[in-house]
Amino acid sequence: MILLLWIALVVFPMILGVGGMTIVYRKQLKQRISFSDSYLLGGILCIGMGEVAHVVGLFGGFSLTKTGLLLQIATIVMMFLALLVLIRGILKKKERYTLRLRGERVSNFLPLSFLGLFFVQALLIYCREPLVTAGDITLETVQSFLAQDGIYQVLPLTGMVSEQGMPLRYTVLGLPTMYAALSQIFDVEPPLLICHIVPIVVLGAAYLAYYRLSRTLFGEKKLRQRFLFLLLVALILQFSDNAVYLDGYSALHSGYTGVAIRNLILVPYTLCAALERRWWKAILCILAEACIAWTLLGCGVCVIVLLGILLLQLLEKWVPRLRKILQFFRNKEELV
Amino acid sequence: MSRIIELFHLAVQGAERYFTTNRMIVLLLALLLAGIFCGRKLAGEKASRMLLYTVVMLFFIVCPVTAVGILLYQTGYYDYEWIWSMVPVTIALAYGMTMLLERKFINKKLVVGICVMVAALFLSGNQGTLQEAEAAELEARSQVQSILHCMKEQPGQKVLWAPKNIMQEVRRQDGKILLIYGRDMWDAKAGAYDYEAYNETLTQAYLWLEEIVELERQLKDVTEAEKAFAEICEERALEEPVQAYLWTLVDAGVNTYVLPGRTAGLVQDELDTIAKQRNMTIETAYTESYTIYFLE
Repeated sequence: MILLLWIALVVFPMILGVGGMTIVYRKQLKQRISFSDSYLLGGILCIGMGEVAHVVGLFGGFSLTKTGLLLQIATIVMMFLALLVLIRGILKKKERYTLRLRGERVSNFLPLSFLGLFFVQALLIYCREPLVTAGDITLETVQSFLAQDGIYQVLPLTGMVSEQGMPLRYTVLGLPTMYAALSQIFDVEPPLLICHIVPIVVLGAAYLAYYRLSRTLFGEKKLRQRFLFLLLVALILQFSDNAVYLDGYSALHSGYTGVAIRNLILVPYTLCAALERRWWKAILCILAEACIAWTLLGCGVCVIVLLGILLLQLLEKWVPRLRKILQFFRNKEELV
Repeated sequence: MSRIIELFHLAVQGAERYFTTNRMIVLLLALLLAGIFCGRKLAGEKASRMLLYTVVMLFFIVCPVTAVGILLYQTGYYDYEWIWSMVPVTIALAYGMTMLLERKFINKKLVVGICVMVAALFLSGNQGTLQEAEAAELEARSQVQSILHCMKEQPGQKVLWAPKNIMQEVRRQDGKILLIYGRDMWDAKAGAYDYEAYNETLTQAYLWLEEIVELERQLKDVTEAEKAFAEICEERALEEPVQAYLWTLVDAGVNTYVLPGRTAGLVQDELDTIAKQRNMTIETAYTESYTIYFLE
């Protein structure tokens, strides 16, 4: 069942994402369907489905089993629709779905170094004893859901019935329910799922987000710079686990938490979307953040990133001086 | 107003703490300064916008006045250090290093350049030493499976009192076992998720147990440890509150006591007394390092 879980975590978001991208770009037949975009958007869609199932289960008083069933049905229906769209898209124009890297020729040294480091990090996450992160109660919450077959019926840390309840700002977040449902559906122990399997998937998705961002920062053709960027990101994550709020700690020790998924995946992807002026992707990231990490009525870090870039774009348009400062940062070739 | 002053102090202290912990931020600042002052830039339109955003947000986060505004935006839910999530440190640092490598270490010198970057990140980061779980946590993890096995052999709902590492690990492994107090007793951040508070006696019972367990741990490899343990307990009057704590715990519903060797010896007589007075039975089980009492 663990193998099926791995397949589900890798394949399902991909199919959902490719179907979604095909629908979004249905009228732009020359637009290539990107592998990284598809997986990331598919992941965001999965988070959305999980959140809907969680909210229905929480406020409808459903058992965890019923909520998991709801999530399964939603996933199967969405997957079926995505497959139909994908098959239709391939039959219409299969060139859009090729996985070929486009750009300058680059030696194997950089990609292999990066993949090697990713493999080492994945191995570290899988084999090392997990840390107990201060303030994080995800595993206890999932265990309490499974024990009670219910959502927030007891306090996660003690298992006792709560007289005063828990804050809505916390109980409305859907990640623990998704993990509990996955654990139940695939019959995987929660510590293995949460501390070892999910962080590896999150790390892989994070590198996809950075890879996608590299295309925005360097251009599609500059493969050498893009792989160099990825390798340096991997090195930064490897060497920066000193404190709980650093990206390295999130990647290597707490990848299952909402803030880790936000900082490693959603923030880079929001930045990428904002720089490319694909506002719908940025809005999806904001909604995903609201589902998995505490925000002020949906306004969190992704909103600041989006507004920051948007403001700079507006200022650049209207403030000529700022344009001169920005030109200072541009290529000599562009000036000539 | 007092809240704003409190956040201001948090911002000032937090910035200092952040710069001490994350030395890579110094690399980022160096790269940004180098980018601003040293010659023509290579960034395209989008990258230059990303760098400008980084510089602006860096200023907003470091400056205490604007940092307070951001903390208020987050309603003080996150600590100061977490608001650094708004600054794309990893992205900007990796981008700056990539451009530096492209300018100064092209072709055959690229490997040399990468080694230089690795060295810089290594020295300013964790120096290759990843964080590890504490020894007490690892010890608890190695013991908890046998403890859970003993507990599962006994019927009925279990309400547990044990050293904090055991209680923490039991709850992480099995959601069916209840705890008289949770990780929020010793991890204040974990207490942010509920409105419950523990009474004074429970808190004192927790502190007493942890003191005894720590004493046992310190005397583990000492010769004549039994004698030393007894002497220190007498000196600190550690046996006196046992009766009061145990009665409180039994009244609160605790029916499972997992205690290390000598600590179990301290409570055994009192548990026997309680069991006789309440017409209850005590069953005992043993694991490698712990004695488990089941009160029914």
